[in-house]
Amino acid sequence: MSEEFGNAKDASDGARLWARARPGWRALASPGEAPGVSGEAPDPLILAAYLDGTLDLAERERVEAWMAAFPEALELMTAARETLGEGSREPSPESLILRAQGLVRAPLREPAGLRAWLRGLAGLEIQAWRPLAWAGVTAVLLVVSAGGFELGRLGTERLVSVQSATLGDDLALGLDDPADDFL
Amino acid sequence: MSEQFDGLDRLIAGEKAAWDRFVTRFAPVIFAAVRRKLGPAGRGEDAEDVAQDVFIRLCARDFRLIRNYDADRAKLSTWLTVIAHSAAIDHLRRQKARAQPLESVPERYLAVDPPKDPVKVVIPPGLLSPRQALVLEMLYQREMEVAEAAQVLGVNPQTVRSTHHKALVKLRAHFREPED
Repeated sequence: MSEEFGNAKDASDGARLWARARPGWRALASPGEAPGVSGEAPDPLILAAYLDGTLDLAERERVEAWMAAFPEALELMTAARETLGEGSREPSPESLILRAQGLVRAPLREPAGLRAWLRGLAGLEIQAWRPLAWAGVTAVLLVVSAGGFELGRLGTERLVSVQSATLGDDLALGLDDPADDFL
Repeated sequence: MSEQFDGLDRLIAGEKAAWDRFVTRFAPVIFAAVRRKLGPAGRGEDAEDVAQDVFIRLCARDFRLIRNYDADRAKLSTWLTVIAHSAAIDHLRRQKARAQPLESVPERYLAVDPPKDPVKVVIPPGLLSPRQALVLEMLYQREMEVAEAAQVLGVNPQTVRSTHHKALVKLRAHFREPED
């Protein structure tokens, strides 16, 4: 590694110095210890933005602090970067595509002509008909209730008149019963 | 972002044809990411199921995850790659946990040693920038090459060398060691 740095002292000292400083850095970066660093992974969109180089400095430092503090984070970002570098050369299995496409079903077909007619009828969306529908249902219920009440009232009146008439006849018959003459 | 998928709005609105096109377009991206992670761990045969899980996550709760995507911040393929890698890592973690039930671990491995007094090395906040710490971590802990570290950071190798040098200068000064 020393050749890469162009400074042998840097390379040899680097490992020793970082081994000495690393526990302190990790303690600083422990959840709750340092602002902006937590064990929870940042949102995937933030990580993707980091990989695409669109984060501002503060956001970028937060992601890099997370990567430096958590080996799994560095592993995730390294692997993602490598995958993006290589691209997806191979096609995915056809069975995966079919299974994944099957996750979303096509909506049930409704008669397109009817829907268009309803929309055109009043220039309203179907949703707009909802209050009118409720009003119609309420009106029908009121009419049925009122009609039922009226029919019931008429029926009762008729029954009472019939019963009165029968009683009247009975009384009349009793009064006019010839047997009474024997009393 | 230059690379986009035309029809994300229609997909979110529940249009089946848009979802089908989305799957056809991005299944290779998701599958490649998942397989890249699972293959070296010997779980390559799980790649299709894990990729399917990614699609399930994407359309769950009325496409909640996709609704959170912002095309102004990142490319769709980059975002899906991150999600796919994350799903693959979760899968490996679950498999690892299942593979070794606690009962099967010999008791001597579960014994807890009394805590030793840790050697406390205090690093003042701000001594190293996150990027400097990350460069040192990649070069010395992960033993990555400069070019690899540069790729992870999305910078050129010279930037990595420069960041590395500045970090060492600060550490030497902190530990009161002589410069070059």
